[in-house]
Amino acid sequence: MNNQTVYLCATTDDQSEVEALQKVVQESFSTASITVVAFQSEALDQTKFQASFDQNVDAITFLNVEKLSVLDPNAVAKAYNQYFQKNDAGRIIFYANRFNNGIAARVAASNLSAIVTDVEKIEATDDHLNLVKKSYSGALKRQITVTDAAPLIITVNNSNITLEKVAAKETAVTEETLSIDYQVPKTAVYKSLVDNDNLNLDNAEVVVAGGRGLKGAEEFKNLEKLAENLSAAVGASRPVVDNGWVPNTLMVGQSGKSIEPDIYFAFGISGAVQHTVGIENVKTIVAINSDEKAPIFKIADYGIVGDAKEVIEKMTEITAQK
Amino acid sequence: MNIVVYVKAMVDPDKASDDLTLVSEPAKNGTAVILNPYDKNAIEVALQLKEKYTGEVTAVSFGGDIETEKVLREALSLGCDHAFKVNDEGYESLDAFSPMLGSVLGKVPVADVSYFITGREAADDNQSIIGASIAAAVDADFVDNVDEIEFLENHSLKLVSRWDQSELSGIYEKTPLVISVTDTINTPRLPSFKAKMQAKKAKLDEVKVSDLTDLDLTQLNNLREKVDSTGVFEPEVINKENIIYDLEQDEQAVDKLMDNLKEKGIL
Ligand SMILES: Cc1cc2nc3c(=O)[nH]c(=O)nc-3n(C[C@H](O)[C@H](O)[C@H](O)COP(=O)(O)OP(=O)(O)OC[C@H]3O[C@@H](n4cnc5c(N)ncnc54)[C@H](O)[C@@H]3O)c2cc1C
Repeated sequence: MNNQTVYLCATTDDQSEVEALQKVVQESFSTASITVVAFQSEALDQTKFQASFDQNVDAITFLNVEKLSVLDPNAVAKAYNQYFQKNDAGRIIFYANRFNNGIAARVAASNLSAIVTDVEKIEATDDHLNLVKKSYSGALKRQITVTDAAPLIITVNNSNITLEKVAAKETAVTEETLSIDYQVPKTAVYKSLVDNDNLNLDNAEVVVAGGRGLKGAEEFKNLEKLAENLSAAVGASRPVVDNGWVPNTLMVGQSGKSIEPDIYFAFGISGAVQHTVGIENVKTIVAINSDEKAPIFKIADYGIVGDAKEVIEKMTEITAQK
Repeated sequence: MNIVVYVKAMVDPDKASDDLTLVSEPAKNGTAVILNPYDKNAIEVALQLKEKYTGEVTAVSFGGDIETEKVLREALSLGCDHAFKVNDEGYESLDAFSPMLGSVLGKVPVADVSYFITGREAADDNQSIIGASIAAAVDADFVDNVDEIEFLENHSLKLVSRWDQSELSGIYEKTPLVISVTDTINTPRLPSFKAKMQAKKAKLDEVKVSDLTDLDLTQLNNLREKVDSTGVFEPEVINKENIIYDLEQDEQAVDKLMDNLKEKGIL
C-alpha cells in the first residue's frame, strides 16, 4: 500500500495552493512516489507553477483541455477522470478550497472512491492513513482512518504548517492534451475575484472587523475611518451582512472568507465558532466587547471590555496623530 | 417538471460540543436535532423553482427515523409537497466519506425530476460531496456553490457559482440538473402556524436502502470497510495568555493597548 503513487492536483498557481501541496510532501509523503497533475488554464500558468514548485517530486504533468473557453469545474473534473482512468490512481490530493472540493467530489463520484475534504492532518503509517478534519463547522474535530482504499481522494487545509526550503532535484515535466465530452454553459463567464490592486481582506496585514455590537451601518463609517488610519481592511460578521450594513464580500467565517492578517480587531463580535473558524490562522487577535464573558475573549491575545463605539473613536484619535 | 430537495438532520453544533455522545446517537435528544442550515436555502430555491415554473417539490432525507421525520416535517411546513424518508438500516456511517450516499439518494423513486437541489454542505460533516455524487448517480450536470439564481424564459436558469477566489456564471438549459446552493443565495421563508400544524399530521413516504434495486450493496460495503471514523473530539484549547483592559475601570485602556501593540512591534 505504501508504494502507491501520490497524485498532487492543482487548478491554480496561487501561492497558497502550491505551498499546501508541497507541505503534504514534506509532512506525510517524503518517501513516496509523487506525481503533480496541474490543470492548465487562465488560473494556472505553466511557467509560474513550475518555478514555484520546488519540493522533490518525481514528475509534473500539465493537463490541457482542447478548446476549453472557461474554467468550468465539470470540464476540469472530466479531464482528471480521463487522466486517472489511464493512470492507476492511488491517492489523489487537492488543496482544499470551495472550487477544488467540487472537483474532488466529482472525481470521487465518478470512480466511487473514498473522499475526505478539508483535512488538517495526514499521518501515513505502513498500512493506513490517519486523517483529522474539522467537523461541526469547527466546534469539533473528527478522526478518520483509511485502510487500503484506492483510490482515495483528499483535499488538504494545512496552512498551520511551515514549509521548509529544499534543494529540489530535476523533475520530468510532461504535457498531456485531452479532449473531453462537455459543453460549457451558454454565455459562460469565469472571473477571478482576486484583487491585488486594492487593499482588501485577502491582502491586508491589519483587519478591523465589526459585529452586531456596532448596532448599525452608521458605526461602520467610523470603523472605515479607523481602517484608513491603520491601513487596514474592514471585515464583518454574518448578521452585519444579513442586515445589509455592509456588502457580502466583507463577511469573515464559515460562509465568508478565511483570512490571515497579522492582526485582527474584533469590535462587538461575540466569537461564534462559525465566525472564528475564519480567523484561526491570525497571529494576533484583539477583542473589544462590552460583555467580559463573550467567547471571543478566549481566543484573543489582547482585549478591552467596553463599548465598541467609544473604543473606535478613541483609537481613531490616537492613530490620526501619527 | 418536478423538483427534489435533499435535507439532512444534524445535531446542533453547540449541543454536540456539550455532549459528544449525541454525535453518534442524535435521537437520544430530539431537541438537539436541527435541519442542516444550508438546506433551508436549498428548500427556498426548490420552492422558488416550483413557483416560477411548475411541478411539485419532494423533500428527501436519509437517516434514522426520529431525525429524518423531524426535518422532513419542517420541509413540509415550509411548502414542500411530499416527503420521502430513506431508512438508513444501519448504513448511517456511509454518508460521510464516500459518494455512496449520493448513489442511494439518486435512486429514490420520484418521477420526472428536472432539478435536484442540495445545500453546499452539511454543517456537521463539512464534506460538501453530496451534490456531485447525486449528479453522477442520475447522470446529470452539476452546478455547485450557486450563490445567485435568475429564472429565465423556457425553463432556463442563469446561475452564478461563487468560490473563495473566483466565480462562474452561465445559462443552463439542459435538465436534469443538480444544483448545490450557498447559504447567502437567499433568505429562507418561515413557516406559518397553520402549515406547521398540517405538516405534523402529513404522511411521509418511506423507502429502505435494500428496497432500492440496481444498487450495488457489495460495493457499498467494500468502501465502508475501508474508511472508519474513530470519532470526534474537542479541539485543543489553546490557553492564550491574554491581556484584557477594562474601559470602565481604566480611562487609559485604549492608549495602553495601542502602546503595548506598538512596543511589541505588532502595529
Ligand atoms: C451555517 C452557518 C454559517 C455561518 N457562517 C458565519 C460566517 O461566515 N461568519 C459569521 O460571522 N457568522 C456566521 N454564522 C453565524 C454565527 O453563528 C453567529 O451568529 C455570528 O457570528 C454572530 O455575529 P456577531 O458576533 O456579530 O453577533 P452576536 O453574536 O449577536 O454578538 C454581538 C456581540 O456584540 C457585543 N456587544 C453588544 N453591544 C456592544 C457594544 N456597545 N460594544 C461592544 N460590544 C457590544 C455583545 O456582547 C456580543 O458579544 C453562521 C451560522 C450558521 C448556522
